[in-house]
Amino acid sequence: MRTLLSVIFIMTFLATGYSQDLLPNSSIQGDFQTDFQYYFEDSLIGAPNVPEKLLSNGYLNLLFTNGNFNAGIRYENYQNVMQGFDPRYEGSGIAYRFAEYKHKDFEITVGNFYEQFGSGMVFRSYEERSLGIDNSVDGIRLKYKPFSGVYLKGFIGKQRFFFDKGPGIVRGIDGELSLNEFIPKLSTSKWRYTIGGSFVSKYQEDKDPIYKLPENVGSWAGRLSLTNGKIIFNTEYAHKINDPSTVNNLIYKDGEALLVNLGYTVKGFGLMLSAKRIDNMSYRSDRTATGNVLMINYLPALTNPHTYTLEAFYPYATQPNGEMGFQGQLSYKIDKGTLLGGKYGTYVALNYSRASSLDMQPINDTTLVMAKGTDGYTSDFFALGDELFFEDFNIEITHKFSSKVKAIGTYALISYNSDVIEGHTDGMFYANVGVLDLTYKVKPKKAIRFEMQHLWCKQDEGNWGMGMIEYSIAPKWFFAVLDNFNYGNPDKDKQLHYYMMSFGYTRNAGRISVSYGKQREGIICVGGVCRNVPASNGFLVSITSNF
Amino acid sequence: MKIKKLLYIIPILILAFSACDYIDEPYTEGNGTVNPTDTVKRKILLEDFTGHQCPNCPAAAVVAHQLEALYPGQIQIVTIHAGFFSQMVSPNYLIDFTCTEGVALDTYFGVSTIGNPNGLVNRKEYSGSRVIGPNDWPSKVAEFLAMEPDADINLGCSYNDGSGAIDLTVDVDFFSDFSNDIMICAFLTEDSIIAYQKNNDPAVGTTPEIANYTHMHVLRGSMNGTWGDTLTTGGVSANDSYQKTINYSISTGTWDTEHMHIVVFIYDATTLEVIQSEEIKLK
Amino acid sequence: MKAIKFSLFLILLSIFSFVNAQEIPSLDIKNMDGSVYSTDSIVNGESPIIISFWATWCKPCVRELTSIAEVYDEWVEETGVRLVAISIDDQRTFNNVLPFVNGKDWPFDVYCDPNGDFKRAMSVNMVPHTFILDKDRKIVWQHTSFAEGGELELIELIRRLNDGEDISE
Repeated sequence: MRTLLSVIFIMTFLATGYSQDLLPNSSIQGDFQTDFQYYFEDSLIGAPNVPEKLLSNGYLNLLFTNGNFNAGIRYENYQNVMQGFDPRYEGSGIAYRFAEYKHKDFEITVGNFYEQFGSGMVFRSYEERSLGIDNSVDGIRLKYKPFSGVYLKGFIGKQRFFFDKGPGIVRGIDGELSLNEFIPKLSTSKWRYTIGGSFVSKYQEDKDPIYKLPENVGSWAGRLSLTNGKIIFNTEYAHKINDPSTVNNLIYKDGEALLVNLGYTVKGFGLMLSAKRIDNMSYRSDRTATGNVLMINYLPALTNPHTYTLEAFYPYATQPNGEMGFQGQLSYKIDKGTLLGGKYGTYVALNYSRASSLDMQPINDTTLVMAKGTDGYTSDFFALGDELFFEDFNIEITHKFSSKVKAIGTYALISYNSDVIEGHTDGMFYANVGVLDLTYKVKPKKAIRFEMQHLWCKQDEGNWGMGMIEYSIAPKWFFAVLDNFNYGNPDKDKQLHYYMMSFGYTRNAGRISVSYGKQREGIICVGGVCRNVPASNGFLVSITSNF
Repeated sequence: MKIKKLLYIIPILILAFSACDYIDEPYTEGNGTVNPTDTVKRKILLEDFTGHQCPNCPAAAVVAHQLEALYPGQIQIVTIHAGFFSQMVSPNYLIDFTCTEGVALDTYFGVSTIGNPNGLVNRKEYSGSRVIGPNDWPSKVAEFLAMEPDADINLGCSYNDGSGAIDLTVDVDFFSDFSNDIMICAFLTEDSIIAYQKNNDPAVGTTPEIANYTHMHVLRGSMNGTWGDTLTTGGVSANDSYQKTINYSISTGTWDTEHMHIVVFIYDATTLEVIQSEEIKLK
Repeated sequence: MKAIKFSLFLILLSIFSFVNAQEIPSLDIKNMDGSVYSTDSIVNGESPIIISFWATWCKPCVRELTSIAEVYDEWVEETGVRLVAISIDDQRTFNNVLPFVNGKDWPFDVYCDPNGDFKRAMSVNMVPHTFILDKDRKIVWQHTSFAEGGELELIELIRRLNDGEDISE
């Protein structure tokens, strides 16, 4: 703690007294965010009684730069932790601080850092504040470019665990080679070739009196990317040795993952096909960790991240223990001047995604699949399991009718396996969602936006209808009211309105928004990682600022 | 030239790859039960926060019982039903396993907001949290039991079947110094209650529920409140001894007194960490 | 201890008004095809630059960039401005950025920041977040969020900047 304070002192000192004379190129910048919510108990929607009434999360980032030297800190404050975030964040302190120095081809970072190797399947540390995820590594990182086109990285450290660190040590190296830069003959080639490889290992002591647990768990990955500007192909394969953990029910099977993307794109047209196979790839620096903490790797969900409220009701999160996933995405612009394109052109996006179980066979006649302290199961690499986890087919059409009227229409057909995704026992949900989003420009800087959404579902909470009106005055103001009505709830007493009023004011990079209303219990997902947010009724004030 | 530079990387790679521990079968430790001796041993309190609607909880109870078998008499398990999964739902989940003290503990330690199953091992704090997942119980338990005991508790109990009066005598001998106040707490637990329990682990029983699950160590209440009584203030020194009598009456007929235990533990009032625990059959 | 922290906080806040206009940091981000791109290459001769952080899943961002795309050629002709859009899509949607941008037929340059390195270095909290850089690549203005018609404000500021006005508030 004392060392942290001295870091701040030095930074302050450098930035104030001496910045103008001795360090003419130095600068300090930062950003600040605080959310606070006042809660009312609402037993109808299931909003719990919050004894503190007012809860708040706050963050302050400071970055100091002087030439090749950077340093930064982040102060976080949870008094107390807002509903829906992990209560273990409670408290306040400096959760992130680093110093970084660059010299020609060499860069060293000491302290906390975020990093990603390849697609992140063996290592990714990142911050996703809206989900309460921060698995930054506290340690040392080196980056080195020995030759043009060769990128080497290495690190060692421990991961953040709330206001402490996880028990495991994580270390890794990564190399990436751009063949076009490395081999002079290829420098003029239309095709660009990139290959890369990573190795990551974690160390955690084994004190378990029942099982022999591996203390060092290694993983490696290789990747390849080919593109000529029109055709894009990239793939990564990752492998992990035995890593019994709470998430995989202490099985000793090796883990593996494969991700393949193939796309074709020209102006006005884009097609991307993706496939992945994840098999026992939960990888954490504490084998007993669950939830969104101490994750070493990142397994992207191959599904469309919906943004409209009702389409986002049933989001998917990658199942690290095993899944097969496919996704196809098509975007197409119908030219202006054509029948369907109209005066301004029409944009069409189609997306299909599907995730299902792996094929899992028992290792022998007497052992159950996934039985604790065994090799778990065997799996045919190319075989699909018979359980559907998630399926989503959706279309989005954006059309500008005139200089004043724009519209977005979307329709999604979603199948959602609540047993697997939420761990409940409510079975499959099948939802159809339609959205119409209309923008009408009253004046060049004033606009009204209407959102009409409807969700049809025979399971779960039945049908929902939602309407929203938003009025904005660019660039500073916006006002919105919405009502989300669960009129189709099979339980008559739960056919409730969830209304919400909000307004926002933006001045440059500072923004304040205030909303009042009711929020349904739901799942918020970013990047295929989700958190559950309980129902709430109250005021939410959110302030962000940059300086 | 380029190749030569790249060759330097190979030894690093070899070093890195050697940092892997492949474990061969059998995966279980071959260390059987610990030798019983006459000397006083450390005994620890394992609080398993659970609920009859919690499908992952039976597997956690298995871990607790594995530890109990591995360290006979050295682990006092208390099963606390609280939170979302302990709610009563018709038709099969109408038994109320909760009690005021259990709910208060769950609220204070924030266990069910993190999730069930989870537990407290001697209520010790690790990396800012006291809440420990079941797969981490064995390591934490082993760590504690590797240490010499700091105190010894001896219990005597008389129970009056007619009135339901319990007369509990406690002798505590300290072997180490403590500078803070010491609290003493006596919990009542009941074993062998047969009822429904949700379950998703086929290795434990039928899924998605077990109709005749045996609920063990269920916390029924405390003889002296959620946080107990003060045993002594201002710290203790090694070789200090304390005696305490705790009287309590249970309403007869509510619980099966044939299958009840009293779990007594002493803890540091400041750190809340349990120093030693002990258990005695009610009858 | 708390008092120390609080006073530090005040000191830090009080110095921000004296801070030098900052340049954009030098670091490696990615081209849409995944190859390395250095932020040092974000240059535009003697003319201003707009840097806009966005994501494929962010509806206001896409509305803003689509509005700009419709008038971008005119903007360039009139003011010489260069827009650089930085996608913060992470690995989940990163591979779709190129088809998405081509599908939209956007006329400006798009680069990717899949692990948020550039985003953090520019203190970007949420998207859309737009910066205006002067001819010396110093940040002279920034704005977060987008409302319909916000692009008009942006080009006005560029015009004023070209006229030699100080647009920082």
